[in-house]
Amino acid sequence: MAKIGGIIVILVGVISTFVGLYGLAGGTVTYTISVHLIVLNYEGVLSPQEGGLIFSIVGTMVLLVGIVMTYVGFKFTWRTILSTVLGLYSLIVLAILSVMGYDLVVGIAVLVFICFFVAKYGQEIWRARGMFELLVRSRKFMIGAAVVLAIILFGIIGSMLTRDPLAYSSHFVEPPSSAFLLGTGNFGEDVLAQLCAGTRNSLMIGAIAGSFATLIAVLLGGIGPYKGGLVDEISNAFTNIVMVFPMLPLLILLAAIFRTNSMFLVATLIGLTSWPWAARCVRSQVLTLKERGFIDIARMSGMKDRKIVVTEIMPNMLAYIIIVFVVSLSIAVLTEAGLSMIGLGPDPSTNVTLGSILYWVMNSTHAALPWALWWCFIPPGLILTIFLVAVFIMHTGMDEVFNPRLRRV
Amino acid sequence: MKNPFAHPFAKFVLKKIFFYSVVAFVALNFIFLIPRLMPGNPIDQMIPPGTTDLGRLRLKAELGKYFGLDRPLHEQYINFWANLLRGDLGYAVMRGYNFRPVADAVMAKLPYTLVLVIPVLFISFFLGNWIGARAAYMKGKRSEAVYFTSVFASQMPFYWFAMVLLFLLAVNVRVFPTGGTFSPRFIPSMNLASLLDASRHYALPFLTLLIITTGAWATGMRSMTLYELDSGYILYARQLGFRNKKLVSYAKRNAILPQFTGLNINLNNLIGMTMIIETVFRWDGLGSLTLDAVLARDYFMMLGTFLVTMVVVILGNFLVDLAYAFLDPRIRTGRAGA
Repeated sequence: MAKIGGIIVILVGVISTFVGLYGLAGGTVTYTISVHLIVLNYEGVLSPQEGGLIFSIVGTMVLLVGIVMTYVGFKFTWRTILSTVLGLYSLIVLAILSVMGYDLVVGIAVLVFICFFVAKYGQEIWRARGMFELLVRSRKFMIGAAVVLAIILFGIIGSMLTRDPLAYSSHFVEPPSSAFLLGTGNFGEDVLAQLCAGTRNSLMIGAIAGSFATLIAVLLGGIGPYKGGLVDEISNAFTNIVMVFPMLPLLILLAAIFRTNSMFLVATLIGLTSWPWAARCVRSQVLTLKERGFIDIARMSGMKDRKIVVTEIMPNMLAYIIIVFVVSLSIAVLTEAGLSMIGLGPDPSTNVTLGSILYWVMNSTHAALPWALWWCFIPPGLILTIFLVAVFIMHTGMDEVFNPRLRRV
Repeated sequence: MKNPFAHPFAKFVLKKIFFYSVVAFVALNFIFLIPRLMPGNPIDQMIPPGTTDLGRLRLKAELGKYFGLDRPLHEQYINFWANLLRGDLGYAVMRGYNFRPVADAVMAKLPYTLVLVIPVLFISFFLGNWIGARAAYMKGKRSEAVYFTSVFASQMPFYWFAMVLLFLLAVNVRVFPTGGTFSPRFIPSMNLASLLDASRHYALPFLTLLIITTGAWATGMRSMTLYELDSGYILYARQLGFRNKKLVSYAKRNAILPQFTGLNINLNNLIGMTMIIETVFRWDGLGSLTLDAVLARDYFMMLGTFLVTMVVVILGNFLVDLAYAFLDPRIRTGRAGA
């Protein structure tokens, strides 16, 4: 009976916290930007200022209710709740701004946040280097990492050295020659230049999506087993429920509803739908760490929660989280190329990604069968395959390091 | 008579039914909330771009009344559930469908997607696991070759591999046709010629999905079998002098059990993959319908196809869970937490 009461309190608390945050964030952004964001049929009646104010006030009240109930349910300290709420608020504001199209602001904010994070926790990161040394000794990991690095460099340096990927020329669909190293495409653009720019853009989208997915996965997969008990059951049940949703149809639906030119928005959508796998991995790793017992000792000796997370758990998990991030990145790159190929990714006329190259192969009106022009569509897929295989080998190598029982293979 | 619900198998089934009901409920609420919370109104999308302002206001009012969108939110919610239970998913507004009920249109296209997904699911499972288990007792160069082939096959982007197969088999060597479900002048019927033609069109999408999923199963099964070959009973049997082949056949049976949990995830991925591959081959199934609806901005059709996809996924996962419970005797007797 008490358990059901506890579950209800926590659920109400979490839901009202999120609803309150959404209202507050939407309200403040509506107030500052003066455009109606939260559409609920009041458009003709209220001005954006008034609408924003109302949403902010209602949102704050709901948020306070949510905070109190979460405090009662989870027994976090006030400082933790405050910092979590502030962090989530800034995240939602950034997401809303990116939907509106303010890409640069969001990018700069994210960079500032990363610098701040590294500066504050630099010492603990240095103490985590033991795991990295183990990984470097694994041969599979190094081969995979080398290939991944080569492809990243190909994307970044290649796009600086080749022609403009969107420039048309008069050489339509010519096979590879000395002037155009990989031939030309349907509009006379250089396939090699498109490949380099496409690799760079795809990897960037993958990085953004991967970081969103890893962030959500760490929050949902890490807090649960760490706190244990009711929180663990709820987060596990939530992860299992979301895992049953088929990712691609959901993504198609969401991408069809938000149709913008923004690469950041597509990356956010991919990140928001591909976190369950990563959450499952993080959860199993945190459970393994818990079995070792030193976390319980730290808690018994009275260490604050946040200090335990920073000094005990993070040094052990940092390498693992980075690998989960890289695999999420590869999954996101694959998904983004698929979305772009059906036309639901960032606008193919202005953005070059590996998937948009395939989109133009499928949708351009040049001669009867574009398929006979192998140089148009085989290179992007080859680069994708090599990248995914390299990440897979990296992942296998990492599995061997973190799970010594698998070392025989 | 003992309480029939205390039997561990019954408890397992009930728990799964409860879980999937919760998933279905969350998904249906999501389907209800999405058009009402997202930027952009479904009605605004339906109004032709050149309408005058006055005409736009009137059209909005009329369409809003027609689709019930001017009522308060709780009334819309109750209507949503009432329509759902009656099987009414709305009407298609896109070109070529003439306001046909969405449920009809979706149910007509569903079998074409299922006929791709279900055979690939079963055949790739059996074939892939068999190849993986065999690869476990190969030695040296052949083992490495099989490993790299299966890794490569599993990591290929499926849409790109579809294009590659089209290029190799339909363009260069004209064995298979380049797309469509049937040849243009064929009426699908049960005579031999029609079935042969249908299978020629079916072969390429089927092969694409099959090769990629078989590669995935083979890689997984090989690692699982090799891991199993290290366990105590195998080492003991090896000391007793069993042949390698016999040992692998024992290890296979224990190694395949965790693969069944992967079957659920594979089903989800397969449905997503089929949806995208249908566009490459212009295969007339649920995926093509979804994408046509997306391009025509037909919200009701989009939501209808998503709903049917969710139902298929939930049913499929539930059946796989039942099969898993049937195959693992520990669940039937409730002995382990598996």
